[in-house]
Amino acid sequence: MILNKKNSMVTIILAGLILPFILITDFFPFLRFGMFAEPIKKDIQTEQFIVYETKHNTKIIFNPEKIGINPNTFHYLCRNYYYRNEMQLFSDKIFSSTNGLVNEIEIKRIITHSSKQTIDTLKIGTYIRK
Amino acid sequence: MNTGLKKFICFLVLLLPIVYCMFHYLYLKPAILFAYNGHPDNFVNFLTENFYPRFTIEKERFDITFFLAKADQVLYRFSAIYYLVFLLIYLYNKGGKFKTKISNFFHTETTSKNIDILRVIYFSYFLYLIGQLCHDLIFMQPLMPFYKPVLWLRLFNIPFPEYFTILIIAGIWYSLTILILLNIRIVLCTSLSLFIFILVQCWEFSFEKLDHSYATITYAFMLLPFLFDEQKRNTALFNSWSLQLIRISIAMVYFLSSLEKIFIARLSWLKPETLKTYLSFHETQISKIIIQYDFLCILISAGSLLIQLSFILILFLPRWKWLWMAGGIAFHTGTLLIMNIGHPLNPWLLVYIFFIDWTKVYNFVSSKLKKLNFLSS
Repeated sequence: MILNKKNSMVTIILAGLILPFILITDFFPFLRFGMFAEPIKKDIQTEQFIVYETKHNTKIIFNPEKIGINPNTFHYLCRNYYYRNEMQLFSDKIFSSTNGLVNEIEIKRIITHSSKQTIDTLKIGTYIRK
Repeated sequence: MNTGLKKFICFLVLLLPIVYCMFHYLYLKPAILFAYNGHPDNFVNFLTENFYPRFTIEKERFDITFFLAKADQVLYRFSAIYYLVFLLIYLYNKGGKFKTKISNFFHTETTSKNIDILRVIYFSYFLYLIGQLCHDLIFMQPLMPFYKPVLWLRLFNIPFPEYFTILIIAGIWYSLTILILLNIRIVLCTSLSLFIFILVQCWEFSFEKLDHSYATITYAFMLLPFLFDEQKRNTALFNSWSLQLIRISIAMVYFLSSLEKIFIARLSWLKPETLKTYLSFHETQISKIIIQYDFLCILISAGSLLIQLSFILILFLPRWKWLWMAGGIAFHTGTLLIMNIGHPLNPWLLVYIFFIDWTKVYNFVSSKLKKLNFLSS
C-alpha cells in the first residue's frame, strides 16, 4: 500500500470514526455516537438541583437566564460540580457571574420517581460570597 | 525479511488481543474495582483523567457493574475490529478481485459541475451557520467562569474569546465563505474556514458538554479541501476519492450509532420502556401521546434502529439511496417533532447533498426550463 494523500486521509478518517467507538470516548473532532444507547432501568429516578437566592431572609429560586445562562446548561454544570464535591467552587463561579447581584445561595437536590413523586430532598448547603 | 520471521511476527501480532484479554481480567477489572471504591492506582488515574473524565461524576450515579461492563465492551470491540482489520489487510495484500473491489469502493465518479453545485449549497448554509455559532459564543459570555477548555485549547493555551474577538472571527469567517462561494482560492479558504469551524466548536464544547449537532458536517468539511484540490487537478469527469470518503464517513456515523445501541442495550433497546423514558426526559405534546401506546414505542424504536443500521447500504446500493435519505429525513424530523431535539435546518440533513448527483438534477431542471421557454415563446 502506497502512503499518499488519499491513503493517509482514508486511514485518518476511518481511524477517527472507529477509535471513539472502540474506546467509548470522544476524541474531538471525532466523536462517539452513544447518545440514547443506554438501556433504561425500571423505577428510574431523576434528580434536580434547585438554587435559591437568599436576600434579607427571603428565598427565591435563582433564574440562571437572568445572567444569560441556559437553564439546562446550568443544571448540567451544577450536577457535575456536585458529584465532584466542588459546590463551594460552583457557588463562587455563580457569585462572580452575577457581578455582586447575588451574595448568598442555598442549593437543594431533589430526587423524583418517574411518576413525578418526590422521593428525597437534600439540602446541599448554603454558600455566602466571600 | 525471510518468510519464517514474517510468519512469526504475524503470529505475535495476532496474539495481541489475547494479551489484552489477560491484562483486562488479571489487572484492569480489579483496578477498576479499586478505583470505584476510591483507591485508583496511577494507571487508572491516568486513564480516567485523560480518556474518561466523567468517571468521577458517573461513579456516584452508577454501580460498579456499569463500569465493568464498559471495560468489557472495550475489550470486545477492540478484539473484533482488530481481527477484522487484520483480515481485510490480508485479503487486500493477496490481491485479485478483493483488491480491485476495495480500490473501486474508495472512488466514485463525479463531475466538476457536481462539485461546484455542492460547494454553493454547502457554503450557502454556512452563511446561516456562522451567524448562529458566533451568536451562541456571544451568549456564552456569562458562562466564562465555568470555562474548562477542551484538549486542543489547553495544548495551545487559547482563552475563551471576548465580544470583539468573536466579531472579528465572524468577519473573517464570512469573508472566507464568500470567497469560497465565488470560487476564489477555494482550497486555501476552505482550509482556513475549517480551522475556524473546529476552533469555534472547541470553544462551544469547553463547558463540560460535547454536542453531536455538527459531527457529520465537520467530517465532510475536513475532506472538502481535498475534494476541491481534486477538482482543480482533474477534467470535467473524474473519479473522486474524497467525495466517496465523505459519503463513507456519513454512512459510518449512522452505522456506528446503531452498533452502540446493539452492543450496549442489546434487544432491551426495543422495549417500550426505553423510548418511554427518553420521551419523558424530552416531553412534547406528541411524546405525551406516544408514551400511552406500547406498540407505537416499539415501532418507532425498531424503525430508528433499522434506519441507522442499514444506512451503510447506501454505499453499496446507490440506486436505492433515496430510500435511506427519506428514512434519515423521517428520523431527524421525528426526533425534532417528538423530542424537540435538533433544528429544522439540521446539519445532519444538509450532508445528504453529498449523496445526490447534482449534474443530473441540473440537467433535468435546465431541460425543463428550456421546454417551458420553448412553450412560452
